[in-house]
Amino acid sequence: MLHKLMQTMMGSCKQATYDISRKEEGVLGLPRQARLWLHLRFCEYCRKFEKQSSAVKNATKSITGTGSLSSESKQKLKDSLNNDSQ
Amino acid sequence: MEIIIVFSVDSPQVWPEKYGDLLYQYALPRVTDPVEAEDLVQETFLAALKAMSGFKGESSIKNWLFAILKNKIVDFYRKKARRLEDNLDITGNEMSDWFTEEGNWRKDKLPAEWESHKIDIESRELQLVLNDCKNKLRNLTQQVYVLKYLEDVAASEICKVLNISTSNYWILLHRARLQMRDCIEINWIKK
Repeated sequence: MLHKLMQTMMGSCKQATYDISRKEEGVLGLPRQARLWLHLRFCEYCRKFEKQSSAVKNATKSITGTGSLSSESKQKLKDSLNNDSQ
Repeated sequence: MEIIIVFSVDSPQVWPEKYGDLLYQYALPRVTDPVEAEDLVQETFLAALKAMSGFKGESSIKNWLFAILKNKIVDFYRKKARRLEDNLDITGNEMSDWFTEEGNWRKDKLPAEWESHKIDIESRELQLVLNDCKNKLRNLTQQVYVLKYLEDVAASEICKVLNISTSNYWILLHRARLQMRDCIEINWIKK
């Protein structure tokens, strides 16, 4: 009975991890925010998910590609700019 | 007598040498395919050339080229979405890889302890792993992740560009984040 009640109040891990992105984008309603807050207080795994997933997200922003354009590609680009401006 | 002509902005012919690689390196992780990335750089230069007269110099040429490239990237996804329309990989039990029927974490998917220093965004090796993990995301899942977290496009705009509903956006983002976290844990943290 108590277990059932807690489940309802805290929601599942699936719901909590889903709501984390919504909270970050500011579109999580107050009741859901309260439920998420409670869930995170009790669930160490979802706390880890929140922290780690947001670290991954922030690290993703800094990805830059490797390699560069070949000299032929650059020449091709220059040629296309010349042709187009004539 | 020597006549010196001073241009206030670079002439377009120097763009490929000066900005080509920068634009290419920005585009590549966002569109994955080197050929597509190169095409986008070319389209960017041509569009910039056409719009030259509109360039007022409020921003640097570099920022201006990047702004055009960012638009081209979103357009690239818009065109791609049209081709993918009937290929929406969302199914009812899409989360069973991670959670039990009751919505608890599956025992084999519980997030492990991470040493926080391991996520060092300066690390080139980590960037390569992140890029590989991102490339493993499938179709729309990858597109939502790239547009949101690499390109920082607003959710409502992403839904329009990819032609998906808001609820599908959240489902795809949820899945992308679960997969990315897991992929980094396996291929970086535990390595």
